[in-house]
Amino acid sequence: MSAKPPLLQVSNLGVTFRTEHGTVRALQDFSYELDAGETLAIVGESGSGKSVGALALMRLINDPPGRISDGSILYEGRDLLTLSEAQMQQLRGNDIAMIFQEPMTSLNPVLTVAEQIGEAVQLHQKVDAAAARNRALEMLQLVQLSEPERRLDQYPHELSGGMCQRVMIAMALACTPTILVADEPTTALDVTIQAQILDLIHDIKQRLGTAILLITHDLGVVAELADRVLVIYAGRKIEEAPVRTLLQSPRHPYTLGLLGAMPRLGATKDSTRLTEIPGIVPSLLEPIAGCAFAPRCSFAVERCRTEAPQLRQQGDAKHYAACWRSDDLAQPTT
Amino acid sequence: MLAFTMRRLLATVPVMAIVAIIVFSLLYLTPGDPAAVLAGEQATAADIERLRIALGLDQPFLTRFGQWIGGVVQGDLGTSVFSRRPVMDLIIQRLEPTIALTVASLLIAVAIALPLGIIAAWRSGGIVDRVAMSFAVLGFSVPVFVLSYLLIMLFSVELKILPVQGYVPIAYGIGPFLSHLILPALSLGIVNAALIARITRAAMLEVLNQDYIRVARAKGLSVRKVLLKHALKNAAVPIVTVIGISFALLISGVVVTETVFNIPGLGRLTVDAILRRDYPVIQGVILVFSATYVVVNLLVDLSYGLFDPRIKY
Ligand SMILES: Nc1ncnc2c1ncn2[C@@H]1O[C@H](COP(=O)(O)OP(=O)(O)OP(=O)(O)O)[C@@H](O)[C@H]1O
Ligand SMILES: [Mg+2]
Repeated sequence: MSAKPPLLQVSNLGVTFRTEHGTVRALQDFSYELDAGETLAIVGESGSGKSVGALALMRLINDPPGRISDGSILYEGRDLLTLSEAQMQQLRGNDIAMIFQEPMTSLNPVLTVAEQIGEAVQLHQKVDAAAARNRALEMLQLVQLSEPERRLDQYPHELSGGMCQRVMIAMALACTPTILVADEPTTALDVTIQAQILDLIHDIKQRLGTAILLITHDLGVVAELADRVLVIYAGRKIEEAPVRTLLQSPRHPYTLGLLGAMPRLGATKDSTRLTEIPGIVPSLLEPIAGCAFAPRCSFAVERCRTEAPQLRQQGDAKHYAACWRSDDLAQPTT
Repeated sequence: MLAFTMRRLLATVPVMAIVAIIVFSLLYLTPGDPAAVLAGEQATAADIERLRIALGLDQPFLTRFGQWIGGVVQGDLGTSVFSRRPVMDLIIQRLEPTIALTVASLLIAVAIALPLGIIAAWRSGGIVDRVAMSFAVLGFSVPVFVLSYLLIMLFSVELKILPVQGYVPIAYGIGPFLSHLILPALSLGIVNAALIARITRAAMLEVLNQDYIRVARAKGLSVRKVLLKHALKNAAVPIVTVIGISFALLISGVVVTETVFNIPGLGRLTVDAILRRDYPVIQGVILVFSATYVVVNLLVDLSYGLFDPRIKY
C-alpha cells in the first residue's frame, strides 16, 4: 500500500502505577498502529494491561497513582502526550471515543439519556440544546434502540443492560469519532444480547468507517470483527498478526494457549472464550529477566529464562511474535 | 409527589405532638418550684401560694396541658411570667436577628464546605485534601464561643475593622447590618462548614470512583463540568441531609453566638428566659425551634427526588 502514515501510531508506550508495594509496570514498550476504518483487537488475560492501554490512549490514566512514563501516541501527526489537558478535552469524545465494559454503571444514574448523549454533541459541535437533542434521537435510531423518542427522557435505571450499551454506543458515536475504543463491550451482557451488540458494532463499522480498537476476551468476537489482532501478556505485546494468520498459525505459545479451546473458524460460536492457562500472571513489580511467560510455558528452554525475546517478523509480512521458539511452532500441525 | 408531600406533612403531626408534650413536661422535670422562684426571696408561704394559683400551677397536669395546647394551636403561646407580654409577641420581636444569623451562617457554611469538600475529594491525598480535612477536624472541635472570641480579637480588637458586638436591623441600612452580622455568622458558619465539608468529601469520593465519571471524562468534559454536573448531583442526597442536620447544630449554636455577640434574637430570649425561669417563654421558644427543625427535615426529604430520579414517592 502507500506510504501514508497510519491514523494512529503508538510507539514504545510505558505506563507505571505507584503502589504501596512499589512501582507496577502495567505497560511496557507497547507499540501498535491503527489505520482509518480498521479494526484492531487487543486480547490477553485479565490484568495483562488491555484497559490501561486503552485509557492511556485517551490520557485518562488517573495520576496519581498512574503515569505514562515513556513513548509517544501520534494521532494525525500530533503526539497526544505533548498536548495540554484542554487540547485533549477537544479530542476526547470528538476524535477518539470510548465505550466500556459495564453499560449499567457507565451511564450517569441521575441524568437522562438525552442529556448524556446531547452534552458531548453540544460540547464538541457547538450546537444548541435542541439540535443536540435531535442528534441524540438520530443516534438512538442508528443504534436501533426501540422507541427512541421515549428513551430520550428516560433514566438509565429504566433501561436494560443491552439498551444501556446501545445508549453508550450512541453516545460514543454522536460526534462521529475516527477511532472508537471498545473495552470489552459485550462481556457484561448475556449471550443473545452480546450477539446483537456485536452485529451493531459490525454494522456501524461498515456504515461509518470508524476505526475500532477492540479489547476483548472473546475469540469469537475477534474472529467476527477484527482485521488484525494484538496479543498482550504482562504489559507487553507478544504477538501481532492479521486475524486469520493469528487464529490459524499462532507463533507464540501464549497465543496457542489462549486458542486452546477455540473451535476452527466456521464452527459454532459457543465456548469461544479464552481457555485458562495453568500458572499465574507474573508480578509486574519486579523487572523480569527473560520471557515473562517462560514459567508457564511448556515450550520454554533455558534461554527463555535468561534472555528476553524481542518481537521478530514471522513468515507472513505483518506477523510478529516475541518468542525464541516461534520457528518451532511454525511446523504445520495438521 | 403531591400525595407523598401530604403524607409526610401528616406524619409531622404526631412528631410535633410528642415535641409539645416533652416541651410542656419540662416544667415538671426541672427542679425547683417556679412559684417560689418567681415570688422572690422575701416572699412568705402565703405569697407563693397566691402566685401559684394566679399562674394556674395548682391545676392538675392534664388540665394545664389541655389549656396550653389549646392556645398553641391557635397561635397563643401563653404570657411571659416576667414581662407579662404574650410569648408570641416576644418571639416575633426577636425573630429577625435569629433568621438573619441562621441564614447567613448556613450560606457561609455551604459556600466554604462545598468547594472544599469537592476539591479535597478530587485531589484526595493531596495537599488541599490534607489541609482542608485538618481544618475540618479543627473547625469541628473548637467550641463556637472560642472561635467567636478569636474572631472578635482579630477583626474588632486588633484590626478594628468590624464592630465587637451588637445587631443592627436590616431596615437601618445594609452596610451596618452586614458589618454586625459577619463575625457571628462566620463563627457559626465555620463550625458547620467543617461537618458539611467532611460529608461532601466522603460522598464525592465514592461517586468519583464510579464508572460513569470516567465515561464523562472520556466524552471530553472538563474536570469542572464532571465534578459539578456529573458527580455533585449524584452526591447530593447525603450532602443535603447533612445540611439539614447542621441546621439543628445551628439552632444550638445560635443560643451561644447571640450571647457572645449580644444579639437580641431568639437565642438571647431563651437564655434570659431560662435565667428567669420564665417557663411559658422557654416552652414557646423550644416549640418554635422544634417546628422549624421538623419543617427543614421535611424539605430535605422532599428534595431527594429532585436529585435522584430513582427515588420514587
Ligand atoms: N489504579 C491502579 N493501581 C495500581 N495498579 C494498577 C491500577 N490500574 C491497573 N493497574 C495494574 O495494571 C495491570 C493491568 O490492568 P488492566 O486493567 O489494564 O487489565 P486488563 O487487561 O484490562 O484486565 P481485565 O481483562 O480484567 O479488564 C493490573 O494487573 C494492575 O497491576
Ligand atoms: Mg480491563
